Formats: sequence, structure tokens, C-alpha cells
Amino acid sequence: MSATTIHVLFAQTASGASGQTTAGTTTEATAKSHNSFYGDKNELYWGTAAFLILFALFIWKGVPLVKKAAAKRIQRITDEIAVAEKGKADAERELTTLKASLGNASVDAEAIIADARTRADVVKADLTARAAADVDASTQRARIEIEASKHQAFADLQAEVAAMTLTATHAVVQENLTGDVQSDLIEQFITQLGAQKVGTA
Amino acid sequence: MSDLVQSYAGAFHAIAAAEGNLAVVEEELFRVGQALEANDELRSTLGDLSIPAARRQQVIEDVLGGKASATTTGLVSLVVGAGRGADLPAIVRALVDRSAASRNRAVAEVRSAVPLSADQTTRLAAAITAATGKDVEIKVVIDPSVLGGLVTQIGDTVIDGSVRHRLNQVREAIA
Repeated sequence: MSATTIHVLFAQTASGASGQTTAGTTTEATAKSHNSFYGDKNELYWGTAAFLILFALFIWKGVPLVKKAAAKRIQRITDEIAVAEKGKADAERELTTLKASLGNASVDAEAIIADARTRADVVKADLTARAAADVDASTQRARIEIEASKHQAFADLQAEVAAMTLTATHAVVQENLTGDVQSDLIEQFITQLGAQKVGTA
Repeated sequence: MSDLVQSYAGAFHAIAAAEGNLAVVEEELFRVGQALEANDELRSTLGDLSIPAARRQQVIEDVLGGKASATTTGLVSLVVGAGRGADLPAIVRALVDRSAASRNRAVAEVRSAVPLSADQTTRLAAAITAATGKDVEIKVVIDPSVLGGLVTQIGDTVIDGSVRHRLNQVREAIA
């Protein structure tokens, strides 16, 4: 509100008061010179001037400060928005990279799985071949051992039979080696020795 | 055969000849030698120098006393007392060979499970002579392990006609 508007207001108020002049002349005069609400005109003028000065000072100094603070704040908010925008862009970029990585990882995983399958097949074939070779070798060894055991058992049996036969023969021979038989054996030896030639050292 | 054994055999031969009973002493020494060869413990005892000589000689007196001539007992006691008891079988063998050689004969050692009669011994000597061309003197050793028949050894030649040998052949054949 400008100073002119305030002056008109004060004037209207003063004219309103003058319209109620029924109370008497003294009272009116006192009211004009000592109105506690309006005060002295000088005060009004000085007050208005001071107000205007302060208002002007406010317009002159305060408004720029407010504008400056507002601009600062706007700048700060703008900066923050820019930072946020940048962060958002970075995040979106990161997201894109991650998505790309995930895509590559999937491809790599498939390649690794395929390679592992191939290697597993090779290892399986190798193990199968080795197992077959081991089985063949074990079978061969078992055959040899069985054959050896068979021969050993046969030899043991043969030796046992031979020992039993000899024991029995020895017993029979001793049983039959009577004096006459002994004499006959000696005579037989003498006769055979006399009929042959023996070289001596 | 070592010089020592030959020296002892020569001394035994000379002493027995001087005593005039060479054949008897030779036969008795042969039996003693066979007994020692067959008895490891006796041979070991007589050759053990940790046993005093008098003790070893006393063993000889106990074993041969009254069973052999004084010459034989004395000779064996001499060898055992000198610590040569383990060499006694070799000395006796050398003595027998020396005695036979002095009569231009070889020694035929005959092992039999049973004793041979005089007739069998004579005919065996003749058979050996016919087979080898050598005159031999038969030394019979009773060896039950022969079982039956005879085993004759002349020098290094062995003629084995024993039942034991035939059983061994059977064993080898069926083993």
C-alpha cells in the first residue's frame, strides 16, 4: 500500500469523525488536537516518512537479499536436481551394463556347461576304457592264478599220493624183507655186478 | 686228505705192524671210525677241546675197554688226547687205504642191512674184481637204512643195488 493510499484512509477517518459533531465544539477541538488514535499530524507524517524510508530500504536492500537467497536456493535445488539426474543417468547406465553382463553371463554359462559336458564325456569314455582294461587284466590274472592254483593243487595231490604210495611201499617192502629175501637180494647184486664192467677212478 | 691225516695213518700202520696185529687193529679201527661217522654227538665230544684230554680219553676207555685190543684203544686214545678226535674217521680211512695199497689192493666199502657170510664176501670181492679189474678188500658196514641189497663204494665209484635206492627211484618217478 502506497503512502498516498494511507493518507486518503486517514483523511476519510478524520471526515467520518467530523460528521458526528453532535457532542460539542470543545470536544471536537480536543478530538482534533489530541486524537489518541491518529496522534499528531507530524508524527503521522514522520511516521509515514520513516515507514516509507524503511519500506524503501527494504525494497532497496531486503528484496535483493531475498531474491538472492531465493536464487541461491533455486540454484541449490537445481544443482541437486542435476546431481540427482546425473545419479539417475548413472544408475540407468549401470542397469544397462548389468543387463548386458547378465546376457553375457548367460552365454558364458551355456558355453561352460557345453564344455563341461564335452569334458565329462571324454572323462567318462576314458574311465570306461580303463575300467574295461582293469576288468580284462583282473580276469587274466584270475585265470592265471586259478591255473596256478590248479597246478599247485594237482602237484600237492600228486606229492601226497606219492608220499602215501612210498610209505605204503616202504612198509610192504620192509614187511617182506625177510632173511631169505635179503640173501636173494645180495646174491642178485653179486651176480649182476660180476656180469658187468664198471670203470673206477 | 691232509698231510696230518696221512702222517697219523702212517704212524698207526707202523705201530700196528710192529705190534704184529695189523689186520686186527685195522679192522677194529675201521669199526671205531664207522661208529664215529654214525654218531655226531660222540664225534663232537671227542673233538671238543674245552673238555680236558684226560676226560676225553676216559670216554674212549669206557667205550672200547675190553671190546678192542690194547693197541687199538691206545691209538684211539692217543689221537683223542692230541685233540684230533674229529679227524679219527679220516685217519682210519687213510690207514685202511694205506694197508690195502701195501697189499696191492683197493678197499671196497660195502653197506648192507644184514651181515654178509664169508662166502658172500668172497664172491662179492671176486665180482668186484671182475667188474673193475681191481683186487679189492671188502669192508662191510652194517647200515639198516640200506633196507636190502648192497651199496658198494670203491674209491669215488658207487655201485648202488640197494632197496633204498630203488625206492628213491620210485619216489622220483612218481613225484
